[in-house]
Amino acid sequence: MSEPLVIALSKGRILEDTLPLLAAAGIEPSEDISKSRKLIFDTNHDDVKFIVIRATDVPTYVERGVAHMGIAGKDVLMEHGAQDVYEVLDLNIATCRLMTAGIVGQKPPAGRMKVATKFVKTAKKYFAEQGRQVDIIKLYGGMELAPILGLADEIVDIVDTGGTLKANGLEERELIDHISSRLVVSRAAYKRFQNRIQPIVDQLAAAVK
Amino acid sequence: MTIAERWLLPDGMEDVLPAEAARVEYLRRMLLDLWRVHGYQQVAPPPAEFLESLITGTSRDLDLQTFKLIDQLTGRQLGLSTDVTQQVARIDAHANPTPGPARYSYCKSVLRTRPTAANNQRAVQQIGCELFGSPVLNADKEIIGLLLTTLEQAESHSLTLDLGHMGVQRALLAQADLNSEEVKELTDMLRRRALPELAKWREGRSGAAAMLASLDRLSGGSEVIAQAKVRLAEFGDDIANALADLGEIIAYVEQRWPSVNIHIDLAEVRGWAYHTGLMFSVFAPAIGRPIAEGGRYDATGQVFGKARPATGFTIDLRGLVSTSPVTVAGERIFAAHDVPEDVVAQWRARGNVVVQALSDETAVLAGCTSELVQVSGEWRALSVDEARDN
Repeated sequence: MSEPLVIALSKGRILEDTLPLLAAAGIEPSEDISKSRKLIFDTNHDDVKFIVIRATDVPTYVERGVAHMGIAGKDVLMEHGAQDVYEVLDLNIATCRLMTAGIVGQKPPAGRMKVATKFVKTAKKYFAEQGRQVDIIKLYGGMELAPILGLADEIVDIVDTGGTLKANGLEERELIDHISSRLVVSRAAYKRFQNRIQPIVDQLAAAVK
Repeated sequence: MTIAERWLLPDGMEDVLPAEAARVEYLRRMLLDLWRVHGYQQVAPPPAEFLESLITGTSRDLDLQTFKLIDQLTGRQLGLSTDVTQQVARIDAHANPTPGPARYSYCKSVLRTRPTAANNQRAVQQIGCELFGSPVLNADKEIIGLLLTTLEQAESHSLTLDLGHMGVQRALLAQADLNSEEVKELTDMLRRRALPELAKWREGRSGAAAMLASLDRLSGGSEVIAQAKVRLAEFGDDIANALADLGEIIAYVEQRWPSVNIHIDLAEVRGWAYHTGLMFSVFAPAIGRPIAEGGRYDATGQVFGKARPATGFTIDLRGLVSTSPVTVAGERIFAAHDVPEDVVAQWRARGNVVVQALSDETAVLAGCTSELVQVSGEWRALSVDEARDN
């Protein structure tokens, strides 16, 4: 049997939106992923397997070639900065925006601004491109708290409806990028198995439309 | 200082332990011997050079990748070599000028400031060949042929040869009228093969610029050449010639190495700053990076005063070792300290590995699997168990 193609799927919300697309492309897990604690899943194809991992780990698995393909948010890909990963398809799922936000009506400080985020590299690059040097404070969650307690002047975070910001007295400021999930392929896998990968990409592309 | 601080190695630096080191050395010799009989002469560039000779282009990547130190003798900045190719180009252009084609081989460790994501290494043992002084396709053929012969000897299997041609991209770039910002943006998108962004970038652009951003469609099996000939027909003879060269190389490889899987990729932009013609990489199972890379780089010698046509390849020696099933016969024979010296010498002269005891240690302690034992007057190597029973 040929080497199985391993597709890395992001856990959580992205996974719920991904599985119907994969099903439309003819690939389905052979058991219910949400009811299992397994990490590797067989599919209805002998030579395709799924692994289900944290979204932020997807580029790492794909870049190192242990997973051949993967599905990850644009936010994760931008932050990871993977070099050997091809972003071949916008799946148009899990769409949201990467924004800066701050306390309603509060003016930015005169000197260097403090920005709390989990997207350290992306935020630094964004502000540098705006000609602003900022102090980045790495947080892992609950970003909205940082400006309220004075830990930071602004935050950089994913915004969906904006409900959480509003509930905490924060406002959206600048749009950094529109975010959606992408289908990624490892460079090595693309070279070695394009004849097997391309049909999957094409079918997913058809399913997206 | 804790004990851990004394034995910890820097990130990306690793000891090669005996079992692997034996295989690395075995393959190193095999490769250099093979290349020697093909007329490739070994050279050994120094570990450090003045920074100006190492970083000749405008590549920021290369600058960042280079470890630097100050030369106490001159006050100038030195760099540790990150890539042997550049050094061999300097040798060809300046240290060893040759009127006709020159063939060189090398094996050398290089250091890089940042580990490549695919293998975490900052010290890479590069082994490879360079062929200077010939612009003809036969030179590319010789280099690709030699690389595939080499991999065949190392018994690496299930290989994919990825082929591209910088002539296509260079001709399109020349016709596209893009400023340097746009070129940078385009290179970045092609490198990431960011198809959604490329599609957006194509909007409102036409001709060569739009074609550059659609090159990703010209990748796949050898049928790509025929498609490319049609789709790129309007962009001139340079491209037609490049595609004809690619076609000839494909036919050569298919005929001579039918088991090698060929992948064509006209959107490959690795070495965009450096390569000028045919370029290639080889991928093997279970390794996320190429085990060998190379191609034509006709302009490199220019900065050293002599631009010579050049092509060559580099193999990551430890990468190759990990894909090669070649084993090194490594039976170690133990001789107790009272075995006569001339007996030990005789066994060693026949090519056996004989470890003689320093005092009263046993075969097992000396890491041996067999032992020299005198059986009815004759010295024989018995397995450790047999020797004990004897």
